[in-house]
Amino acid sequence: MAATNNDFSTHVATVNGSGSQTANTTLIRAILQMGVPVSGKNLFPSNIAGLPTWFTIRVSERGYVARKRRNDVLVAMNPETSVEDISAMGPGSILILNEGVPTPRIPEDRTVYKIPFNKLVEPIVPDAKLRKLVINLVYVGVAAHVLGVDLEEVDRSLSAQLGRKPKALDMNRAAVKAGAEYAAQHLQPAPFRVERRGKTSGKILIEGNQAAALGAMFGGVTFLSWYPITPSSSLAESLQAYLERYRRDPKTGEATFAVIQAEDEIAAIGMVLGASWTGARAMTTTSGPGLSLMTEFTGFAYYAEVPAVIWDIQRVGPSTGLPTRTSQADILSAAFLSHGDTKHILLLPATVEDCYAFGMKAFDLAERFQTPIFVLSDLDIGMNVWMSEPFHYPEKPWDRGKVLAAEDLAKVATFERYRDKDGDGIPYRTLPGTDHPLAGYFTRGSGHDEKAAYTESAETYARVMDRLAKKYETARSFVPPPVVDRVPGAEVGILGFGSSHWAIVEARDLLTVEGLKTSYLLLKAVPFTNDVRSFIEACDRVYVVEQNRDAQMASLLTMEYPDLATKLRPVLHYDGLPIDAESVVERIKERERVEVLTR
Amino acid sequence: MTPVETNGKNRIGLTVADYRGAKSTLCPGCGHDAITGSIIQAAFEAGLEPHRVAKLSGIGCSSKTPAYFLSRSHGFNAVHGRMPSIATGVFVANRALTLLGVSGDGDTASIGLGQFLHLVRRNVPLLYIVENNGVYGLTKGQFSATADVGTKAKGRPVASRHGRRRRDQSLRHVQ
Ligand SMILES: Cc1ncc(C[n+]2csc(CCOP(=O)(O)OP(=O)(O)O)c2C)c(N)n1
Ligand code: SF4
Repeated sequence: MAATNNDFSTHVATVNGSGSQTANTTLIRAILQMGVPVSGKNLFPSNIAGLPTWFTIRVSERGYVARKRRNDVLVAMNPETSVEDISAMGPGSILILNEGVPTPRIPEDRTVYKIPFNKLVEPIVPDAKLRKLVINLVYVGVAAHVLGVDLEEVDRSLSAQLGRKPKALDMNRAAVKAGAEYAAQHLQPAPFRVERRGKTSGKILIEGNQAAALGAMFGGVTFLSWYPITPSSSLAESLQAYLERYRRDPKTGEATFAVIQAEDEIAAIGMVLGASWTGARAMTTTSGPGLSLMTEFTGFAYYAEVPAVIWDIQRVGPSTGLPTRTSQADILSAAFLSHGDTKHILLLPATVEDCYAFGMKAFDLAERFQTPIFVLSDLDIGMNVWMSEPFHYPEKPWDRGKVLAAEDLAKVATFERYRDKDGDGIPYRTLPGTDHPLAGYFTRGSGHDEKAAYTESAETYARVMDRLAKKYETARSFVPPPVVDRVPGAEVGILGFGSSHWAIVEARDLLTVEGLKTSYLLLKAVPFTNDVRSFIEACDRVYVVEQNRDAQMASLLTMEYPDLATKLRPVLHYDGLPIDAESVVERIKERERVEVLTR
Repeated sequence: MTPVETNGKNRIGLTVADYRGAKSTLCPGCGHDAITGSIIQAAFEAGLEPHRVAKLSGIGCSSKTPAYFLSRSHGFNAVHGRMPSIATGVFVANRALTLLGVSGDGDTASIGLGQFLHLVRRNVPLLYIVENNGVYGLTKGQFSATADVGTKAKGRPVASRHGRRRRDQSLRHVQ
């Protein structure tokens, strides 16, 4: 059989808490070091240790990093799931099995390698408890040999991770070696091979949550308040670690930031509002259930016009749902979070670069528009490792928005907190502590007039609400615009956002091969910019790809452009697994057949 | 305390009027107004610099009162029971401010008990005044968590909106 080089997906089934992370990271990095594009996805249970967990490593010369629906190589370490894992593998696949795991009847066309993992690791690690953590490195050795991953790169990658723990490094090295030597003696190379290329030079590997934390730090965050919840905790924890390291007064060593682990998400957002109102760049991180708890305060912030940055790393709901699976199903709740007429600005990162950039941008928008900004990432972007170009140091100074200092107040006769002086719907604010008799004002969630005084006047209420709507209109020209790829002659458009991006990129190539040309709009924010309308107008029909059941983005588009609604065709994926290209292709093709038939 | 100068100005040259706020909209004779008066007098006598004070409150008749004093200071009338989290954020962002919190017994001890306890646990430095009337004034007289078990509300307090006869609904009574 001819070898398939640099285009396959390896699925590793282990047990949660068994040290599989070191093993998987070692393989991924080694492949990246060989110049071949690679990505990794963790599928883990809502549990700390003992339940099955899977990790998928996709090698793709063409740079496809979305989940692949079918895997080509299986490493089955976990006896609990081996029967199911093996049954899911297709014709021509390679099965690397831990000797003794239960197996179903395996068809002839699969290549089976049975490896005595326990026997191989026993002489290296006498302590049975430790052995469980090291055994996974044996499969790294086996896989490296079978798949053609350079052992020197594996060693470099392992040293990069464990360099500071010499004892652990030695043990893990020995395990890799044992696996590789066994494989060299007993196994044939697989028909799936990694071959050196020069396609990853300068690239970094990073998780979206880490990228977001870096962005927030460069964006000048000085206050973080949060309550732990998967999959957002790693954002808060990375940010805290970065701040502790890089944000200390060089002279005194004192922290120039504050992080508070709040008692719940209501308190977390409350503290953020208190700090932003006082002039800090403040943010919180959360996921579904926490977002629900923030409802009342975000409506307050919208109406009383207090900045806030809220990162929602979406997971599967409703309620506790599948807490360790991914989704894009908080779009509508975030867009309108609160009772009463409320419209929020949303940022939609599709890549780790976006996470980094929006880490900064969210603060500029929050302060410019004096309103909560929701950044809707998800578990797939946030907690998986992605290859990326290195991030750039920010080029522009921050936009601190319309804030009047004492010197500014000295030049004016009156200050009215909620007066629309510039005609853009955005009033001026002052910060507590400003030493000027005009500075003070009363912030309230009850009816207020331009002077921030209490009122129940019908006209005033409506006037303020209209101004808030105008402010939202102004935001259209400040939010990140979509990325549009108009293909001449293409009737069909695809509109996507967030982590669906990579599956769409791949799906478009597959569709082109099958003769269907598509244009593409990658949405980066709500409210929509005019490019979104012109894109839909220019296409005959637009497939709106999203990872939720209720076509939430398509619904928002329909509300915004009722005249274009009949052009929208939802493509929905909502099983908690990251969306894959084949699913997108299948659904579009199915629908296209109907389009052609009914023409 | 620094004595008040004879010309009606305090040590930083401000008059009592500089510490007043908007006209109260509470019921005539409401005890909350008396507390407002005392806050104005105390701030004046202490010579507080208004711009260094942040007034914070939740929701309720009592929580409305920061609008009726120190109009030169920034005020934050938050949502019901959650003033402590706002105060914590303000404190962290600017430690030079003097924080003055006003709340009711419902705002603090019913809906807000959780945040109140955590405020105390974190030792956030602020003056926290609970204007305790044992009832929810703004929603017309239901009992709050500070009402004694079995208390029956007496007739209407002078011209107020609350004071309907009602028993405290502690668990003993609903079992
Ligand atoms: C979340 C929420 N629930 C209910 C209310 C209605 N509400 C307004 S004030 C109040 C009670 C206030 O009582 P207290 O804090 O004792 O203040 P008082 O009016 O007696 O001064 C209630 C329940 C509200 N504003 N918000
Ligand atoms: S209802 Fe009660 S608490 Fe409220 S203003 Fe009237 S007397 Fe005061």
